[in-house]
Amino acid sequence: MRLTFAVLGALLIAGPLSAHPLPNAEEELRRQRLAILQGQASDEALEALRSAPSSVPPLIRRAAVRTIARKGKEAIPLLKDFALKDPDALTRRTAIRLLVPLLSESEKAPFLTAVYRDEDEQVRTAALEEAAAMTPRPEDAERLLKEGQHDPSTLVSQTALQALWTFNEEVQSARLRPEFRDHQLEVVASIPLAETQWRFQTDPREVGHLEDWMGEDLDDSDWHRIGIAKPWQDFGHQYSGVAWYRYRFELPQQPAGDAADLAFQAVDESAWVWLNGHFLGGHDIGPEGYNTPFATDTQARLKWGEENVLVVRVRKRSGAHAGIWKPVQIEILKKN
Amino acid sequence: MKSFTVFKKLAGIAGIAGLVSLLAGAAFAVEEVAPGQPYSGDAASGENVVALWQFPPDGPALESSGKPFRLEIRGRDTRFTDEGRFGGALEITHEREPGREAGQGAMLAHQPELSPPGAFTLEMWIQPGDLFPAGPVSVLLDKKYLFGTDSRPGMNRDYLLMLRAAGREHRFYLEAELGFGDETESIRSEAISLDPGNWAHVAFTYNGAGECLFYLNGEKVGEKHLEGREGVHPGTRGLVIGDRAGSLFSRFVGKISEVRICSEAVAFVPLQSVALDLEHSRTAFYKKEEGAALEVEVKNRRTTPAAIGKLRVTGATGDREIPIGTLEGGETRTLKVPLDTSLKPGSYRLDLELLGERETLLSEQTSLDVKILPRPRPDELPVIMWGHARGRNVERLKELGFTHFIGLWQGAASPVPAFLNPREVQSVRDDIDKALSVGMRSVGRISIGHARKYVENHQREGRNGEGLKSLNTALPEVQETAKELGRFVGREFGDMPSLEGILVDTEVRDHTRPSFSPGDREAYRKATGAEIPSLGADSARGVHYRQIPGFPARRVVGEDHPVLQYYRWFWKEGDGWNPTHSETARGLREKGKFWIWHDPAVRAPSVYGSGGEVDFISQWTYSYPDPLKIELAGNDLLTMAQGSGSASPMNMTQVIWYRSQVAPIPRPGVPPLKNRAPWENEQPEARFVTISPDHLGESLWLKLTEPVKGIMYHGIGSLLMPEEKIEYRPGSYVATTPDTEKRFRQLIETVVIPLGPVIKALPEASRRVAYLQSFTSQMFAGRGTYGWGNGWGADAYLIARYAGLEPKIVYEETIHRDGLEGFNILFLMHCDVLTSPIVAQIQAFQDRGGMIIGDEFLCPAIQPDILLPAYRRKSVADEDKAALMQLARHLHDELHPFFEPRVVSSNPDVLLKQRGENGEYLFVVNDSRTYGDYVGAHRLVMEKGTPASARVTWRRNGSAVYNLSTSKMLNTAETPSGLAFDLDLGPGDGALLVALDKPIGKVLLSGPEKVHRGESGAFEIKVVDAAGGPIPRLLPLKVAIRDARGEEAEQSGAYKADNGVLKLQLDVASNDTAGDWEIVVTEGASGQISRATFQVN
Repeated sequence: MRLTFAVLGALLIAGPLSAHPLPNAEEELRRQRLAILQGQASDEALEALRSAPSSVPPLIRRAAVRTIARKGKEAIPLLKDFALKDPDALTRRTAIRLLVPLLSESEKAPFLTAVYRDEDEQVRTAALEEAAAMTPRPEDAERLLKEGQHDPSTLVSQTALQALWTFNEEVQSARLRPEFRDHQLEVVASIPLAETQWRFQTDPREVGHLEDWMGEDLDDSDWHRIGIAKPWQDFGHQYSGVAWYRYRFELPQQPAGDAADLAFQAVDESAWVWLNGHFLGGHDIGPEGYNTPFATDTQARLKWGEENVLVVRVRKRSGAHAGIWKPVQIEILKKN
Repeated sequence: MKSFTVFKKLAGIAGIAGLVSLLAGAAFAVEEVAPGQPYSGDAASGENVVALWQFPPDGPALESSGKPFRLEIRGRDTRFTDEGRFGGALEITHEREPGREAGQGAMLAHQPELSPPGAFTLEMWIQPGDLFPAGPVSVLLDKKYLFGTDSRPGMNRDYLLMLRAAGREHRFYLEAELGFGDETESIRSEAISLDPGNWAHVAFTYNGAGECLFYLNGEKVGEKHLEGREGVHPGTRGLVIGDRAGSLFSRFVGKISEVRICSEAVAFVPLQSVALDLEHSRTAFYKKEEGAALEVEVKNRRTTPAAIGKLRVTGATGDREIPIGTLEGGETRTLKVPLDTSLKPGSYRLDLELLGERETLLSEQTSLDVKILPRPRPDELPVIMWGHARGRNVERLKELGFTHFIGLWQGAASPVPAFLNPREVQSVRDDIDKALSVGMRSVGRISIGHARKYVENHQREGRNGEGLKSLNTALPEVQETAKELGRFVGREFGDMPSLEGILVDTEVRDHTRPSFSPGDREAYRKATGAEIPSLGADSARGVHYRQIPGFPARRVVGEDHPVLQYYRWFWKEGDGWNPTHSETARGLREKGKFWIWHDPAVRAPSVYGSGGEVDFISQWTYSYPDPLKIELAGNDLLTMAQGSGSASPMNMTQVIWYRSQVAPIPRPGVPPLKNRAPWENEQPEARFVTISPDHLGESLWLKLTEPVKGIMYHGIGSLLMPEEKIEYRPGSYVATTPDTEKRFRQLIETVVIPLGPVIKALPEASRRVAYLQSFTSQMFAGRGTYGWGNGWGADAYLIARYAGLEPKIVYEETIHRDGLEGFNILFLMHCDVLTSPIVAQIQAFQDRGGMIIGDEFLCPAIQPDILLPAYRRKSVADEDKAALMQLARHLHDELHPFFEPRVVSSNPDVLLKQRGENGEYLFVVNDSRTYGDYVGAHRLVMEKGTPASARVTWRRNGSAVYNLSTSKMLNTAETPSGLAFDLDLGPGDGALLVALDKPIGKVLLSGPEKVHRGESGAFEIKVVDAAGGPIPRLLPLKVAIRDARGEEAEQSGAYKADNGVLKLQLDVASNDTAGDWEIVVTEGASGQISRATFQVN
């Protein structure tokens, strides 16, 4: 703290501020942050912060970056330095956020590609969000987002994914409907889906959603036959990436109940679910989701007494175990 | 039934014999017969009398008018006796021939005269014996033989009269069977009461054209019209009195007197011509209740006018005579009999009688016990059981410390607006009255939204005109009905002071939906000049910004964004619920002085107005997995209430826990946990579990940290251990631990009662940390906790608290109205989308030095000073709490030294919250918990509190700090950071501290030396410092007033000294005990006691 104080004291205390007594180091830090925000710090002092040691409190660095950005285009070089070099991740992220609107369209994507190499996931996320916000989106921004889909961080990859497609809503059990939230819903009947007779197709180019593989009427007769309740590797598909399951099934007449959930005991590792052509939601919580049960409200999309089409898009980043590897059932829920 | 006693004492003739003679033949027939005589003259032998048996001792088997209808005894258990209604009787026992094998009663061979061709009457006096009934059916008179229609020839003829058990003790139906040749008709009365040993007159009349009537003691107890029927088909069987003719015999066990059969339908009138009825009167009143009065109904039960002199009331509450005058035939007049309620609390008996013009007694003398109850303390913090109870449970709730329960409960099948019929209204009034008699006050629960049929008929409409199964409260006629419902309740119950509060429209808004009827569209057009936008899913919860083409990349929208504008209108007024609550409240206020509340008020997005123009808004929350959620709800409620301008918050804790959230039933095939709790074996299918005692304790303290005007609990069955073995049903609330009830009682006695008056009056302290709940993000990004306290939006609040911060929830409207002045920190969690004016305000706040704490979802236009990455719970309670604590440490470290809280705890588990205008009060709550042996095996909730210690540093140098929970001054040390002191807290426990500039010196008590009975004395209690200066704080006081016998007097209880002073006007009742009285005042901060004596004469 002493060092920080000394450094900042040398950098910032100028003009009217220097006349004040310094009751203690902590109070001085507070005063200096305020001075920066109120534009009382000299340009030299702000610029010097660029190379200040990491012991300078992050809140001062972040405040400084915001103050610098107020200068507009002339702040670009300094902000770039902060964005690429500052030891504090949030300072870098702040600098990126404030810098991008100041850049020309042609400068943005290269800059974002550069900062995407950052070690911090929040910084990479900001880079991808800025890339996603570009309208129209240039090719290099699109390329950056596609790269981001495979980022080891779930936060980052989800950001890319959300930018590249529109199926972003999370699965939600019928139990979470507002009208059921203060009721206990009992499973009064359970209809297990068959563990055979499913169809399967890998999607390494990730184009399935663009080609309507989730469509109700898609001809999937040339897709591989597969089962569930075991990893797809057990059916001979040694593959990591995106793959699709399709399953046609007949339902009996509607049993008595208030709602129906489609309950997956586990999918390794992320899943997006369509029923009869309607998107029900995605379950994408990162690698830890591989063994997490989830359920999605069928939202009256089930066709009782008729044929139904269930489509599940599965994504596995890497590993020897993937797919709908535990059973799936329809659970009929009733309010007590 | 009311708890009054009826003594029968008529016209100076005492005793049963006199009563018997007076009532005998008391005008059952159309023409009145002189009292004191059995049937005689034409009533006994007139041309319409077919037969009459009066069983006189000198010829009990003979027909009274001389007809040759001699009876013969059948069976060894039947005999004639002298102990009849008017002398003789037929008596049937089951001493020697028990069961149904042997026929009993008296028989008469077939007589054609006993089959009247048209109208007829069957009647008799009966006195059930001690062993009555012998079976489900007791036949009184049989000339038919088989029950019901029988296809065999000759089986559907003549008549039969019997009693059938009605399922409850001493309750029966009168049943008649009439044979019409091919078929038999069975007719049944209402359920009647017949008590062993009491004589009752029973009668059945048939007019020969389908009209059937039953009478009990002259009062009509049933009627039925048999469409198309004429006279009964004459039979050829003999007559049996007191049993069935054959087959399975069904004797009446008891005595039968004066059996009469007439060939006309006799019009009976009740025994007494005028009667007093107290069924509608309250019996419980507050001391000094204004306008207290008994409600006495005087009825003329005859068809001719009756001259009544007066009603005389005598008793301890004062003798009164109220003139009456003439009552027309059939008239009922209601008299208000004023009561003197200035007497000391207790039970008082009143005697009431109706007198004729020359002081002759006209009615039964009736006695009524009324109760005078102590007045509720105006300072008290109400403790409301959000549930309906009856009988013993009401007393148990009172004993536990509840002040109110739901005495008026509307069910889903209730029609509106008159959702109760007169009988139901009376029943509810009785319940409320009974509750008050044990000191329990009531609240009511009403809504047009719970009346299923009404909802079906007034639905919202989808875009294609389809019904959405959601009540369209935007319809003007629906709002008018809501007002009418309020009026109805005001009219029927507004005179009952113990029905204090009315809950309007609980839990109705979960079903609200945008509606697109022409009326709804027009209403929106009128309000905004715009058309309802295309809204995608048409959900009430908004539209995700990613689904809106061209949505601004930096997620900043104008206040007038069409989607935002629509949803703001929808939630504030457009869906109609808030105006509907207001209309109901207006209707209620027209006739009643209720306080009116709505809940759950923050199960709605963060815009002002939830609840409409009610007096209080409340919320219910579950304490799992972390009780801090209860405080979050209270915080949210306060902001919502402050936005309404008129409502104050209350807060409710669920005593129930959902089993699935704390200790789930194992899935099929999964073995139960080895270390499961005993209750899991005893109630393996229980769906609800009782909240753990430590969660209950901590939740109470956390609830109190935010300003609330009352507290509530739900789940009577989960709180009260059954007093006797009950039949367990999985869906019912059944207590799974006795410890919670004990803890509840302790919390009421040690926290709520003594500290309630102070806590209720403590204002909010100014806060330096704001926590935005963004309506815009709720509508555009599906955010918001909707009062549930779940998800990251709530967990970040917990992090703030573990970091030692005291956030205040703010809405965007709060920022529009008040700006962000005074705050140093602003939390922006789940604030994905903001409006441009809000962004401008936030940026200006930040430029002024304010610090933004945001998450990765934050609107890109705002750059946070600190980024708190969202944490996704693992549903492992200790790991989740540890992760939140870790984030709190990170937050705390980043904030240091840029933010210095006014008060700091060395232990993040010891939570602090300042209260009072200048933050001079401090709540301290222990959140240290671990897994216990109740639900802990499942690791979903740490339900067991553990002791915790902390060193607290409070920036208040030079102060004296008192613990109001222990009435002790704390040992403090002056440090550069402030006043420091150590605190030890028990599991789930808390404390309320107060800082004073000067220590308390003494407690002064002054007042008169003498107070006359029936008058008041002005007493003053002053809490002063050593120099005699008043202590400028709210301080708890316990005032014990003991009368000359040492008994605690009415106004004893918990009070508060305001600025160190309490002025107490002590009312001494005219019947209070004379002699030396004592007042003992215990001051709650220092524990000092002051006493004074005075004389009552």
